Amino acid sequence: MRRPPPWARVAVIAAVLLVAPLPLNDFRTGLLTEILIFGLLAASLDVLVGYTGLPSLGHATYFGVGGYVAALAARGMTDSAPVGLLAATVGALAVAGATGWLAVRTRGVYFLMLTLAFAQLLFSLAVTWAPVTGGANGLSVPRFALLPGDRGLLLDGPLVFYYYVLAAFALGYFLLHRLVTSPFGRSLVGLRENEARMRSIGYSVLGYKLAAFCAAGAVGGFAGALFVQHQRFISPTNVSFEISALVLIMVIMGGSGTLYGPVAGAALVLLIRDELSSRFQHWELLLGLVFIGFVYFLPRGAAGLLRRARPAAATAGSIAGAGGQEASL
Amino acid sequence: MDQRKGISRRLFLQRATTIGAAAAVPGLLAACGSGVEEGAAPTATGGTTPAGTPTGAATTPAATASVTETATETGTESPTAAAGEPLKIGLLIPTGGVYASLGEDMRNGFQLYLDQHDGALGGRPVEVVEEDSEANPEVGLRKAQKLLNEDRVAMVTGIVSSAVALGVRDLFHEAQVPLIISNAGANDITRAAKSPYIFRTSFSNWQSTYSLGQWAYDNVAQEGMYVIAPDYAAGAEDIAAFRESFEAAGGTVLTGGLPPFGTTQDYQPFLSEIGNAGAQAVFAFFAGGEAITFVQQYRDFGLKDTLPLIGPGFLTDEGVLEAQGDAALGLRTSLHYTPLLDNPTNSAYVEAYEAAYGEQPTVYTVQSYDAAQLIDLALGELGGDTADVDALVDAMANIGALDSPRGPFEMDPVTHNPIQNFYLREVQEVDGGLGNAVLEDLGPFPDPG
Repeated sequence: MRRPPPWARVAVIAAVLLVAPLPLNDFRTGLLTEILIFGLLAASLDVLVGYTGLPSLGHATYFGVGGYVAALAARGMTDSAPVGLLAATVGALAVAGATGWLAVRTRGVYFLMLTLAFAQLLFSLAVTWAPVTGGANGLSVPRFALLPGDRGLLLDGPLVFYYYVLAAFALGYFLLHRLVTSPFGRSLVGLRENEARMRSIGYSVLGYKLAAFCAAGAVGGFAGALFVQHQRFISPTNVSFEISALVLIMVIMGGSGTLYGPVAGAALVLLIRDELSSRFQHWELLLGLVFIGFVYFLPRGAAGLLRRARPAAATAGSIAGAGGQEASL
Repeated sequence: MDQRKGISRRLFLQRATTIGAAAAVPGLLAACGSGVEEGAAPTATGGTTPAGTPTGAATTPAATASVTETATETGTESPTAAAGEPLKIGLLIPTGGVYASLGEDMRNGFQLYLDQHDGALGGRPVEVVEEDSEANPEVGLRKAQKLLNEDRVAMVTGIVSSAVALGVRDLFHEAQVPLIISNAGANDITRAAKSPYIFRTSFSNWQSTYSLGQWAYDNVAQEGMYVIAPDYAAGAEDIAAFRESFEAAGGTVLTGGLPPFGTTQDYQPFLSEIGNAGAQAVFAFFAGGEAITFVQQYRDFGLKDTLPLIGPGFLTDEGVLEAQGDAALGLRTSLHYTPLLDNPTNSAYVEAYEAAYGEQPTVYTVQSYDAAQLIDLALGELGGDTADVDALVDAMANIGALDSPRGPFEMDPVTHNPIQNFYLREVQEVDGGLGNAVLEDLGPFPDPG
């Protein structure tokens, strides 16, 4: 049985994503937009968790930094959404560089705790620095246009905005894909599998880890900006532990070390959240049960279903590794 | 053989740790999901259960269901074509966390009006779609989007938290869907962020606090006032308005504290500061579970007998009074309602509410009751027709006086905020329980807009 060529699969997925919102109402289109945004966020975290073997519990840091930069840019500077995206990506990259410089020097549970600490720091900052962040009230953001200036194609209505996010998602995902399939990306897997050997054959381990950390943070900030432009609102919730944990769950449920798995994980988690939170007050409890089921029966996540037939890349180890760190919390 | 055994043990360990993680993550998530934004689980249970339990008992079996069918087809003639169809109204309230009891009260108040009017408003049978805002602006915004775009409700009411009100403001303004806020007091909603589509049957934070300044100066302390409130929109605005009125009267504020909203379970650092700073009186704004915790700790810390504690009446509303017990006795607060108000509308209301829910009504139940009344009267003028939104909001703005249990109530056509009287109340023993008895009518306080 011959597998179809890769471009055919990409074409099919692109076609599905292009027509998907057409039969949906505005709210569902918004949900689909949110799935793409969180899918990108989870995919960026996957570079760390799945490929490099660094279990981060603070990815909301970069999501939040990107979001606040985009919000402040929109309120103070320009209504152009792509300019805000760029500023947010640069801002998140800078913060990822600074925090990553410290974080990559640790490993395992210390790495996990340090990333969590950064996220909590930023959360406190977002709550207390009210003149800039709006504190616990958050900030409302004006409407966005595609281009700066007066003639700037207003990104109005959920459907128009969906296609904007889809384009941004395609760009972000493409870059992440290029990253992990490049020699650099293979080196990251090498780091995950045997760091001592990589060091002994001459790789700059810290440099590679820091680069991966920065890439993940930058795309995380990119996703954060998209989310704020989608919601047109930001509050410290965007930097909260809830987001960090939820994204890690998306990665693990979807299947770490695959990029597309975490996107599927994002879809799963958000659909579960939306279906359950309108019906049950304690929807997190049910999400937890589903999560346990996934980890037990599908240790490679949803992506594991697809990969079963193929020679498996050694992802199970990294999944359990990430999970193991968490258990020791 | 050895090798295989080794591998299987490693696999087992992997499985075990992963499952451990699986158990840990949702636990953390559940704790923090509500914890970070709205009060960690201990606060939620410790704080709201005493107040919430009697409310939750039996009277509202639909507590967890999202769609509460209240439509009754019987007895509604249809003056227009639109009048026959059910009217969908979104109810956006927190159902968990420190403000859970407020959300419950708002549901009950709205429901009571519906039940008294055959489940219809303005001649249309009503279907209520309930969503949980978690008192978190982010969640509130998402749920409001769902109500508008998925459930296609004709209007939305509820909203406890000022932060949620500010967060959803643009959404309603741009979608041109009426929003009748029945609690959140964020000043901007009647001022800078005023919208033709947004109304309030509750109060502005300025209103609920400004009323207290002159009285506090005359009756409590002229200087050394310590001010404390949770660190979010309403807290900051309450402190600002109190400071404004207290200083205008000639008083001086000593200093203050802003404990984190929803996550503070121990007010000791602030209480010691009050003790050490040489305060002569304390102004506090807290509501729901936080009001219970603060008032109890204020007593436990030995401050109650030495320093007078005053604040907006949410501090001792009937939903938290029972749980506070003696700790609340003698506290003086200002609010636009107490079940002990002496007017015929209120007497009938209290009787009906107690018959329906087996407990005292609160200010939150009244605000939601009046929201239903506002919708009913405005929609009645239009024969139940919601097609012309501008006509509907025009009718609401010019509705004039409502027959509210709180006494005088007039909708300000400019600010869309009620002009109403504030009452100075004291917690006293009433009929074997505790109640807020009226000491003084402070008069009307319209928000300046």
